[in-house]
Amino acid sequence: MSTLRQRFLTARYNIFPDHVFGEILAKRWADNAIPFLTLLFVGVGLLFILPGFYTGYNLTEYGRQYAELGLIVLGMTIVMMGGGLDLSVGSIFAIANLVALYCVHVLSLDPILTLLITMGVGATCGAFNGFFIGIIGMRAFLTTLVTLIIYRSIVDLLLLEYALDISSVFPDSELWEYIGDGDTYGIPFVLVATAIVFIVGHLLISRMKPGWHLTAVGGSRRSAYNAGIKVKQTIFFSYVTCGILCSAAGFMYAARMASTGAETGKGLELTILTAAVLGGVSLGGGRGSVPKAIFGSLIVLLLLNGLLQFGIQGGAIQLIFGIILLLTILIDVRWVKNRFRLLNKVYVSPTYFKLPAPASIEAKSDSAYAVNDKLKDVSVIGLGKVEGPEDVILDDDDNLYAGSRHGDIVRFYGKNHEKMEVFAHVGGHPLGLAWDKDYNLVACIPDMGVISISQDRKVSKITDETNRSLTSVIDDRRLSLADDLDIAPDGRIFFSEATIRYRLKDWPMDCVESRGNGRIICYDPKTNKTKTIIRNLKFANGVCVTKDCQSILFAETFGMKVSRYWFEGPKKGTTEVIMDNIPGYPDNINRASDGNYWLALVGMRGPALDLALTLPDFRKRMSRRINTSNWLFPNINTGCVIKITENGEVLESLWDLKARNHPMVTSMKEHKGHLYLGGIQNNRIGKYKIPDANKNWSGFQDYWGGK
Amino acid sequence: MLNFVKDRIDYFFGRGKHSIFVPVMDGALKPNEFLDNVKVIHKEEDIDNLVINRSTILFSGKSSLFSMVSMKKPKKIKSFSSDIIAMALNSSGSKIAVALADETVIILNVKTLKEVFTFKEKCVTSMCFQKDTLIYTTGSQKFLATQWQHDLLSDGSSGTLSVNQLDGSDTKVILTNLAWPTGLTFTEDSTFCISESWKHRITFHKLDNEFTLATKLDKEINKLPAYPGKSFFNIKNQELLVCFFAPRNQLVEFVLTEEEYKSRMMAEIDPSLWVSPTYRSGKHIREPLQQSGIKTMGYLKPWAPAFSYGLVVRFDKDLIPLASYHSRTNGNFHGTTSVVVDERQNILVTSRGDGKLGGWK
Repeated sequence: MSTLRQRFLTARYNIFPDHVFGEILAKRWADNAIPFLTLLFVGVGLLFILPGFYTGYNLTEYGRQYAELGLIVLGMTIVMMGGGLDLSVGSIFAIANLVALYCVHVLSLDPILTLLITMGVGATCGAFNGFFIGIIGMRAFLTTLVTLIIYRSIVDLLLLEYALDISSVFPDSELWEYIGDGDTYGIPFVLVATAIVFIVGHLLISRMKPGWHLTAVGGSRRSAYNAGIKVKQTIFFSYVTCGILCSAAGFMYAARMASTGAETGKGLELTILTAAVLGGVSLGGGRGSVPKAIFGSLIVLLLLNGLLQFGIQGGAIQLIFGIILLLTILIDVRWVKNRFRLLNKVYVSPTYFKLPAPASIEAKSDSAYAVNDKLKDVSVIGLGKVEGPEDVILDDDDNLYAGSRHGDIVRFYGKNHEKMEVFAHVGGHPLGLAWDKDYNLVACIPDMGVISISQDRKVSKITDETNRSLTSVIDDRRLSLADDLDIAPDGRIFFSEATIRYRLKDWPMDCVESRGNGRIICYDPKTNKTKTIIRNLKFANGVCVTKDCQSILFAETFGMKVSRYWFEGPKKGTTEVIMDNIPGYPDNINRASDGNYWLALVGMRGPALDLALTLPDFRKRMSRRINTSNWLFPNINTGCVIKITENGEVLESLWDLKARNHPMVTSMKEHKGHLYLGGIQNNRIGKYKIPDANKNWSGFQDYWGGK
Repeated sequence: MLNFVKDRIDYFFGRGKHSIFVPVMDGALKPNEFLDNVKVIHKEEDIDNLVINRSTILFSGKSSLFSMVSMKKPKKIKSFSSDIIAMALNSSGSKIAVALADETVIILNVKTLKEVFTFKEKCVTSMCFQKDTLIYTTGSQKFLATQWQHDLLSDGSSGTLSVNQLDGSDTKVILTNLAWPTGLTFTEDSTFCISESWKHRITFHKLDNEFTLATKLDKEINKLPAYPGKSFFNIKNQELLVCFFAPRNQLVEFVLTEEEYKSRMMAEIDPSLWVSPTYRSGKHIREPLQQSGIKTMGYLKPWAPAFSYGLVVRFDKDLIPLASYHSRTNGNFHGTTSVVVDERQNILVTSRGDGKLGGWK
């Protein structure tokens, strides 16, 4: 491949932030992207088409209209989130308008009192809807269609009676006038009021119990019921809230227009429904928010005024809105259905990664990696009893601890470790294990962080978050795939987070991407703070504090390298690659009794995948075209254990070539002359007798014996 | 122009000719573990090319010819200068044709094992006697018989059906541009079927009396989930047995559409480590692996997508599948390359991938 092509691929796939698109799409607020863009499109479009559209006076006028429209759309949003629909919003609006006008004009009541009365009437109308729909269980569409007619008829009857009385009097209230006409620093009072309602509404819906209950009921009524949510009440109150919001809007309209026209609020339900759906509120329930209501109503407001200024007549506007509504519902249905499919297709964003051909592993070669059958006679512990012991560890009484995918840390005891018990239930699949100086077992658990288990089996959290990086779209404060750890003499815990973009079950997918999503993090018990020290590692994995206690060795599984980072001493803060272009995928690193280090290779590289790593577009298409179970993956069915020096020199390798006993090795710990082998997909733990090893050496003594 | 746009749209959505859909094994092809449990009669590396005459069964293993009488222990009866790639017996059982990898076809007298006639031909994939004439298929003009993976990945479609009168006259080519034809089998006097492996189909043809023209018949089965290979027609119950030597795999189908990856893989990588179907996968730890092929709890899932598989299917004479015999991803009878049925209606199958001759009644 030409270097120009290489440079192009690097620029296109490694520098251009491909992955961000998928990450944004994975966000909950990505739902709002389409409404927001539509709003931008409409807003900017009008600026060019109608030059006088955004003049000062117009803006104030739009603000007043928006205050009313926004409140009703919010009401509709709340009802729709609960899985309902309210067609009677226009009629409630009209009733409220009439009541407010009657109170102020005819009865000369105080505007505040009027507001309360109006809202009371709105609440009653809403309660009427809510009673039939929520409590009795009638269909929302039919019920509100009927109440639409009933409320409208009431308005018509009352108008016959009181229209003349109302229009013949002009109220003498400054407050009333201020509500209808006043502004502060050019901002209409009603808009401020509506903004406050929006803020309170947003908090209630997104952060508090009423909103969560409402979303749950709309999402799945039966599940919500089973979860103990009062479904009927929740629906009832959603209609009451809608009624109150509509009446508040009617009150504002009364103050602004003082109109007793029979057309007030007629056909409003279509406008409101269009606004809600345009904003992204789902007709099926369970999906909606205040920002959605805001975007939707803004789009509709701009369209409405834009069309009016074009000189389009009322009927035609209704027609246009109808068509828009239909199209929006169509898009909405497709979006809800296909969003996660789209996400699956675009999330994986491979990079260009080229490595030279690795060292030979052929048995006949004189390479240190040459395959052999030294592990063939490994004895097996806990066959079929333990599932997924990624890491193992032993205490000085020779008890053997391992994580299991059932969310336990299990302990094997007895002379040959033939007995097993659950040492502690931690709730996640434990990966890396280490002792601290007080004999607490410290474990890395994906999705949970770093936890500690005391000898009396008390489980406590050490840390589950680190500092947020500025440029990451994914919230990387949370620890998502904490992998392996080691503890420095001063108690600092150095641990790796393999990837921030994938969950544990998808971990080999990170190889298909090869982006460098992992990091090394340090927890300091003195300050109780957690801080990321190294970023952009290709699947950060094994961590081991070196014997001089000034540095750590860490492995990058899908970077096929091992590096050394100094946290103390003259080289403090520097990182040095000690092994590169390893023929396999390095996993955990642990100390050996002879002063060297054991390194597990979880699988071996194959040329087919190595070639694919240099063709990001190939992998991108692969991730889109074929099912994940068919993807080209790293071959992790056969691995080995190698011994390395502090400088990365390979001394020997141990293989189980036929993969009978130990198909996969992710970790190994030396203890009193034996090497104990763990594997994340294994159903056993291996025990290998190391020839000529120090029979008294144990990990705990080596780390904490002298202290 | 419109076609180009349509093609690009199809490419984007993976439709039409850009589809990498692999048919599922369903109905009569529903997977089982039958082949893993059959009686293993003999073990021989690269065992292949079963042919039968009454109670005598002949087969090849690398460059050797073996004979097995009445299911007793097989004996090596002759060695050749290079590997045997195809074999056929005439109807009286007096002559045997052996195609070798060094591009020769040898006709032997079965009793004396003396050469009667030889001629040159490369990449012979299957042969058949019709009276004293030899009809045979060649897989490819470009590659050797052992390089079938190369031909598949090169979208090979240069196979032929030819006739040699075995009297010194020239070979006549009857059909050309076939996608790796093999499994030439006569079902009636002048009607034969061939498996076109890379087109995943079995087709029937009618040969005229002078052996100069073959007309394709309507009878055909396509969209098969594996690559069809050699076949055997059981006259007694009028059934066609077809061996499928490797499974179709979605990743392979995808790689077939990826020109750059494919050509670089073929240029830079050893064929045993390719993303390609094979007689036996999982032999080397540096072979490619697919996600579902990861062993979990010490167990390889039988449904995992595989590069090798064992499959024999029984069709009736109208090519309707009746039953199938499988060795799945975790099985031990992969690369089923040839099949015969003996006088007692025992079915015998070679597993070239695992070097086994298996049989059942």
